[in-house]
Amino acid sequence: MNPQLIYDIYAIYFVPLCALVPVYYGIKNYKFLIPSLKILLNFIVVSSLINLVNLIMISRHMHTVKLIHLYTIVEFFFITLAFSRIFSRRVRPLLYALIALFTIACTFNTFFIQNKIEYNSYTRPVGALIIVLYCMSYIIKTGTEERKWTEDSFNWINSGLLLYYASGVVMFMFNNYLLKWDTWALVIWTIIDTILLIEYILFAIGFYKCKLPTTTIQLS
Amino acid sequence: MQITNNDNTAVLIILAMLGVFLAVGTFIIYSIRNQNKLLRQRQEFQKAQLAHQKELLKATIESQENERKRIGQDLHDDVGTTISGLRLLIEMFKPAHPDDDNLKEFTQTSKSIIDKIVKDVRNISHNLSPTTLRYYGLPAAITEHCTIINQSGKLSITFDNQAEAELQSLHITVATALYRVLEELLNNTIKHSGANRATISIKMIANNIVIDYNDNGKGITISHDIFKKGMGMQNIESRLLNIDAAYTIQPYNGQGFGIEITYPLHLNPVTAASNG
Repeated sequence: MNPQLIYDIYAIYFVPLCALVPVYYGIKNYKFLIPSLKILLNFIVVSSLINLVNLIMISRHMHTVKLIHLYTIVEFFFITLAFSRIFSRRVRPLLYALIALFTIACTFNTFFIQNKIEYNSYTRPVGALIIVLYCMSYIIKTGTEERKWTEDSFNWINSGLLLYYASGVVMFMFNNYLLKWDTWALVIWTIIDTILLIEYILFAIGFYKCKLPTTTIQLS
Repeated sequence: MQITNNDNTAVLIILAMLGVFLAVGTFIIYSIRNQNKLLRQRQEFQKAQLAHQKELLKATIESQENERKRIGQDLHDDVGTTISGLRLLIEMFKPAHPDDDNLKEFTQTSKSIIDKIVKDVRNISHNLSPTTLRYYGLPAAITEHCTIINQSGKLSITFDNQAEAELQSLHITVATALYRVLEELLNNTIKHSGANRATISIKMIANNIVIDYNDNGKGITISHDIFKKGMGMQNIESRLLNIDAAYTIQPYNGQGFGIEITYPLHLNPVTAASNG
């Protein structure tokens, strides 16, 4: 069987469709979701829609690289907003300022620095590193909690985010080297898609665990 | 010499991605293990604290029982005997004028008072240390206590025992605890409930001794929290906790008070020792 075909089935149909699993559990347990989880549920829905637009554009042989520039702003906005509901209220204005600053930086980068058909390899790794920082802060802060790790639904979601963005940083940096489609690019995209699949599974477990209210401690 | 670099960027990206993935995965697993370890330590600490508190409670109850037993025996043996001697002395007293009416009345009154003191001392001694419990077992002690109350006319108690053999087999510590709890419940009924009837039903359900206590009084008209903080209820709770028995207070339905006490027979020290 042609590796390209296998990859297409895997990356274009299977992995994006897997996003429906966390969305299903998120909607099912919606009334038990804490605000940050509701924001992340919206993030999955919006990112799936952007992915759909991406697929439509690909089918019409259009360049989709610029869509990643927009997606970077959207993902940073949602994830930072979700963590602003988890962290102390005191840092909330700081996180809002960070969203504004990052959006300006991304827009500037898109129009004036990486304005050709190229990935935003400057801004996306920065965004990913900041997200990794949020995740690490959450782990460090909750590391001394005297309760079962698995009981906190946000622990699962946080792990999913951490695994995806930490592993993805390097790829986001060298994305422009992968513009030329060859076997190596295919392998790299398969790996990142698999990590995304793991993220979806962890998200689904997190939403599934939300059957009981107050499963996450707000950090004050 | 010319420096050449033939590194394949894609391979380096793959290695970096997998390396970071592994490092992050390890970090997450480590933090899970760490958090679970902390939780386990905390639970073990709480368990040890609870066991220590239970030991203290046990020691307090045991010393209380020993002290009661000692005072009860002293009252019965010393005070009781002395008063009986006094009564005998009065009876054997030979007056110079035996037909003196005043003297006759004095002798009669003195003997009545002494009889009352003897009866009271016996009752106090019995309450402090029920000898029937020690010599004839829990069913006999409960029956005796019910009979005394029934005779006093304060309350009419029905005692239905369907677990005679099991109650007889109870260790003295368990039997004393259950006896004291029933005593406290009856005391509460007499003092606070205004009831005229009470029933004690004991039966075996799946290797558990189940004691049902009910009265027809006014029931718990205060909140359950305040009720549970009362001295009598705390006493009941600590005694039941000490023998690992559970209790459920029946919900208030306008009248009467009901409590169900469950004692798992396998926890009985005698049974546990023979099983072990």
